[in-house]
Amino acid sequence: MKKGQIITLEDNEKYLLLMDTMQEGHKFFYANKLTPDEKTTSEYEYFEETVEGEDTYMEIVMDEEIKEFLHTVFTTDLLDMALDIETGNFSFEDDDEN
Amino acid sequence: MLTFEIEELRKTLEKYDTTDKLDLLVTKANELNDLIYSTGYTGVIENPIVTYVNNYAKYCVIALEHFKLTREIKDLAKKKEENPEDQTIDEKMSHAQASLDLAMEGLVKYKSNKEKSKEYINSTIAEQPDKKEQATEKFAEIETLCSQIGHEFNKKPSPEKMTHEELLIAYKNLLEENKELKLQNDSINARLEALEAKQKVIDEKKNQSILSKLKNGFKKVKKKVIAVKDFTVGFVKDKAVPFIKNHKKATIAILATIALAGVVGSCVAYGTPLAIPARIISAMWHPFKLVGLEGPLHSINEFLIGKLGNGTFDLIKGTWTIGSKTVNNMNIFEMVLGNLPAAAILAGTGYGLFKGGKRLIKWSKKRVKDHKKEEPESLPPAYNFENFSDEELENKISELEAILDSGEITPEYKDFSLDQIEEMFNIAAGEQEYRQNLNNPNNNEDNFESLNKRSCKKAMRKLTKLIKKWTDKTKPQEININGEYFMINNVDEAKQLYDEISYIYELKFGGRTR
Repeated sequence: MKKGQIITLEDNEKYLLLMDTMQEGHKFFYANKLTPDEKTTSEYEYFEETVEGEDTYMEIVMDEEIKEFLHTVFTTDLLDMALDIETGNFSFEDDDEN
Repeated sequence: MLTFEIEELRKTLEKYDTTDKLDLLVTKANELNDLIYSTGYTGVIENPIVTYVNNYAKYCVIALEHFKLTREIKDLAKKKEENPEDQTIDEKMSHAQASLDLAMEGLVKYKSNKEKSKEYINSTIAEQPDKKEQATEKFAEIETLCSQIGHEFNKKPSPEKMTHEELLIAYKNLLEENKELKLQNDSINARLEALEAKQKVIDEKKNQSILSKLKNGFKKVKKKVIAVKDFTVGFVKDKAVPFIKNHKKATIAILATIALAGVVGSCVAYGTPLAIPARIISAMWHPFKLVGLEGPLHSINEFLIGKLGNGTFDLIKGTWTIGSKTVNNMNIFEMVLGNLPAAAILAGTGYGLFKGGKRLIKWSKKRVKDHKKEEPESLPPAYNFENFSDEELENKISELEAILDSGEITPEYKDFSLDQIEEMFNIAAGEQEYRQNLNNPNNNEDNFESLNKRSCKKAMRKLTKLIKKWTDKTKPQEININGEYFMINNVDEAKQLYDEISYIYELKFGGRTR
């Protein structure tokens, strides 16, 4: 998975993956829940991506301390995104290197 | 011997110390000329080589003129920005523009002429089978030389050959280039600073508890991904782009109040350089002013003025000066609107993080509050208002507030100092807010935005006092704001909290708190 994609989970809930980050070998996403017809909502989740064989899973982070940490990471990333837009370097294709 | 209309060209080339190429061109052109005429060529009135080289020479001179005029117009436009009322600049610009138009016509004309001459020479060469190969080679050499002479104009002329006026222009251009380079350098440094600050924040935040959880696992709910598709194709193209296109004003408002608030909030919360939002505001100022939305933007400015010790904002030019640096020309606004998917994702992410931050603040506050319940504080009778009725409590608060506002202690409170009365007031007002919050569970769920005017002033007064009297700066302090308890680890955090509340106060109730 990568940022800029819309995923559908097994319970048919849809999310737009806004940002991603690698932390200690774990890949996390910050995602916005979408309506069935793919309109944005005001619900946001932190996911950890795991891959088992050919299947990909999104695990909703429930731990408040980890959520708080990820919030810090993504908020600081938002500044980077603003700078990337400013310099014309923003792209959905960019892979995070952190 | 060939004669060229090249006196002007020769004069110009002398300044570039490259007349050797011109001499070589004359030699080669003469050789080609002899070659063509040695076969008894009599088909033209005008010498084709002379025509070709003359056209090329004229083309080069006009190209240089065109370059100079373009630069002059750019300089004049900058001067006009600095002195909008100066009519003489308009006249100069109009004159320069007319000359530029003429130069452009000349460029088109001589480019076309030299192409025609080239065709003519080639057709002439083609008619002379025995000299064809030799003539083609000579002509190729001439073309190369002409092209090299043209390129000489991209080089800087030798300073000792320049006139005083040309030297002045060159000096001004160098100053301008230097300024641009400095700005670029500042921008790179700011970026580097931001990245370092970001890494530091993340490293500091990644404590042992987080590391242990990341290593050993933490609470999650697992769901399988059953479909994936590209956001940019579906969502942005079908929904975000039409929305942004049709609601430009709304988009501006979204970006200003959500994304920018997210950026500013992030800077405040995580200590990243505030110069970044200052630059963004500077870039957004003019388009915002155009649509009458500079008000909300300036609220953020006012806040930044307080945060950036020596920062000033020029309302007319829309530029920030931070220390000795002026930050402008950062057209993030155009960049954002030029990259609609980016605008959509930035607005979406900014909004989510803003909301998420509020939720987390609520959670942190709750955690401290729960802790508070476990260790109840016993207050002296004069400070304890728990058994007061709502009406008695309101009367007590008004009474104490009147004393604090006038600074005169009434006989009833003669045994107390003003500080003690203020403490009483704070506790009484805290009790009142606590009761209001109990009656209205939604009232305290957000952050300081729910504070009323009195609560804001009270919180700022409390924090000012706390900052002044905090002797052991390593010992965390607890403070009650609007019925919520906050654990403050150091004076900087207290100052930050003060700034946040003061910002809310300025936004909601107007006026300055400093």
